[in-house]
Amino acid sequence: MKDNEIDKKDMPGTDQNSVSDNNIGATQENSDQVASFRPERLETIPSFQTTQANLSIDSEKTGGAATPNFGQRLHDERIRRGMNIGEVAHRLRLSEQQIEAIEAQDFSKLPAAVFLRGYVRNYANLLQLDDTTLLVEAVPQSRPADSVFTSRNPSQRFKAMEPVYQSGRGGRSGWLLYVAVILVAFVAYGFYHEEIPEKMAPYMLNEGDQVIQSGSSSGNDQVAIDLTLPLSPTASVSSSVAPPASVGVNLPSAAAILPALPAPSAPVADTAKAPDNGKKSLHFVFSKDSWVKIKDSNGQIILEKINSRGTEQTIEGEPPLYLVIGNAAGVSLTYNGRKVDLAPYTRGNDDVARFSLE
Amino acid sequence: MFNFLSNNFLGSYFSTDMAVDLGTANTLIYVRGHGIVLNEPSVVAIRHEGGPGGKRMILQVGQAAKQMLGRTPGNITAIRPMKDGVIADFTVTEQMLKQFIRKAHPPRLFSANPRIVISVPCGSTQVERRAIREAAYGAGARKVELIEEPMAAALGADLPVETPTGCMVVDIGGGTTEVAVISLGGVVYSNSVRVGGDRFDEAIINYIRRNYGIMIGEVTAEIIKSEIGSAYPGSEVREIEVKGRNLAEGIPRSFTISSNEILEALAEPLNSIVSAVKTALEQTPPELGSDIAEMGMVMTGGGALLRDIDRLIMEETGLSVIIADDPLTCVVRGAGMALDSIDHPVGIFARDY
Repeated sequence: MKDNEIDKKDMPGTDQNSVSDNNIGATQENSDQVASFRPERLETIPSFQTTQANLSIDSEKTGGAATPNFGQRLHDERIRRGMNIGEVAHRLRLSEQQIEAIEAQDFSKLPAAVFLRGYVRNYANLLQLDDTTLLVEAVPQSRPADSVFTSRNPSQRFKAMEPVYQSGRGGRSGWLLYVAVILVAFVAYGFYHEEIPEKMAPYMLNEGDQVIQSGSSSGNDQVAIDLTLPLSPTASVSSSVAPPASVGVNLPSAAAILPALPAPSAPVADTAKAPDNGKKSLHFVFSKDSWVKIKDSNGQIILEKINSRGTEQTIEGEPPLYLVIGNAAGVSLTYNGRKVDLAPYTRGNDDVARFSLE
Repeated sequence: MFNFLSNNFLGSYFSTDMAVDLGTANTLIYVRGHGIVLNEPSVVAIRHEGGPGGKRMILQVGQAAKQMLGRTPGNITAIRPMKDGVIADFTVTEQMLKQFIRKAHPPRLFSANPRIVISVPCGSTQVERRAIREAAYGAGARKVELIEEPMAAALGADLPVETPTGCMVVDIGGGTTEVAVISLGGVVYSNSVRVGGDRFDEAIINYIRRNYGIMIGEVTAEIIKSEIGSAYPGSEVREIEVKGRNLAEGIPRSFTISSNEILEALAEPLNSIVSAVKTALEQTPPELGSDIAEMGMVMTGGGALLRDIDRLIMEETGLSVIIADDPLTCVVRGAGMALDSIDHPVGIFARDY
């Protein structure tokens, strides 16, 4: 019945009208094959074709019969009322392409869903359709093309509006930074506490290690000696005579840290083998007034006094022993029967020897 | 750090975030997860006790108070504390908001105060914005964010505000008409004229008094507007019979008024709106202007329900005009969407300092 009505009322006006009229005929003939008619209709506008074909397939998939085809409805009504596209476009203040796109339900040519719904409502009002709301409801909420931007989910929308990079804002990495700083602080604290035993370590090394260390350290020190050569000719002389001794003279700090160098330690190592109920004897002969302080392995001070010139002192202690001897030039020390040369341990300016004995 | 937890993490479990459209005519509250839970007229009925300078107490708010509007005895006043989109009476507004929030979010044990997004007219001054913010804090909000009404309206109308295309919104509210062009989540141009539904009512009252010599009330004027009011001459002429007090005789009389007369009465406020829209189009950068010309503009707010107002603007500007779905609730729905971004730096909230 509709076919007849349309055929009767068709007004051969503009070419747009005639084109669409043909289409109507085609649709009515094979109304179920929507896909086949659409490309034929859009032959004149090639750019339409792909999207149009996709859309029609989509509508078939989702069951086009269930949702009213608002574009077709508007188109039919327009033909029935004898209006052409140009007239409608003028009344709705839209372009003719947009009206065509609405009737063809070609969403790629139309703006976001809200506008499309508005257009359909206005169009339906213009045609004084009674099922306006039904038609508007049929308009999909989003276009297939809308992906990120016009998402229905507000949080996704706002994510699209968030800055990709913002200076001064750490976010998750900011927390990582805080954690890293705290960790570094802890590690540094740990190292600080580790460091003191490490400094002490050379005193407690056994023979084998000492040999290795002295070798490596003397290698390092040799470089230092070369550097200081022009400055102190006496040092260079002594270095040529006794390399380990010069180390002590030129690098007192190094000597303080690593006093257990080969010359004194080698004899110590020999005598250490003799069991002496764990204790070793020290014999001092003072040719000058000298202040002496000795700590034993337990950290207990076993001797701390000023010894006057010309006296002698003998003391026993459990090695390793840590000694501080003032006026070292005026003191001769015998450790377990062996003479210990204090010169390598003596700091140049204040003549104080600090070292340990095993 | 603890502050961070209590503000966002724990707070979201124990409090309800809400969006409020504190409008001149109606106040709407949207609660996250519940939708629009309150839609009441912004009217407060106050009872005075003990003569002038005596105690004032809130008698009713909302719908019940609106029914009292213009029908109150001496010791009760029904007032609308919002005027032209902004606060006219601070204390009363604060109390009204407090009552509405209590209705929407009944206080429970261990419930934290809500975080609130409130819409403000884009033309409001710093003082007016601060007043609204303070009123919300006074009503028990924990955190208050302000959002400009056209921005909220555009969000609520589902416009693609975050895309690099120009969207034009015309929001005709009770007290103000907001015109804005929005692109990339920000307001490119906005203007607010203090013409809205209230001005339409006033225009109708004045017209009838002038031409008929009959005094009608605001409520009657609103009924006339919503029944037969139109913004553009249509094909059919509709009539309504209303009653008012004859000024000459002093006796209530009944009379009939037609839609064409109302159209004439509304000409002046409608012209203001049209010129605001035209100014906005003039001020819009050309690229955005071309987007608007292609897509048209969107109307929201109660004023958009005036018959043929889209037609009027369409004819005046030559651009397509569409009316958003459910225009009355666009602003509060948009503010509700903005609630979701209260913790994100997307910059859609207005600054008042």
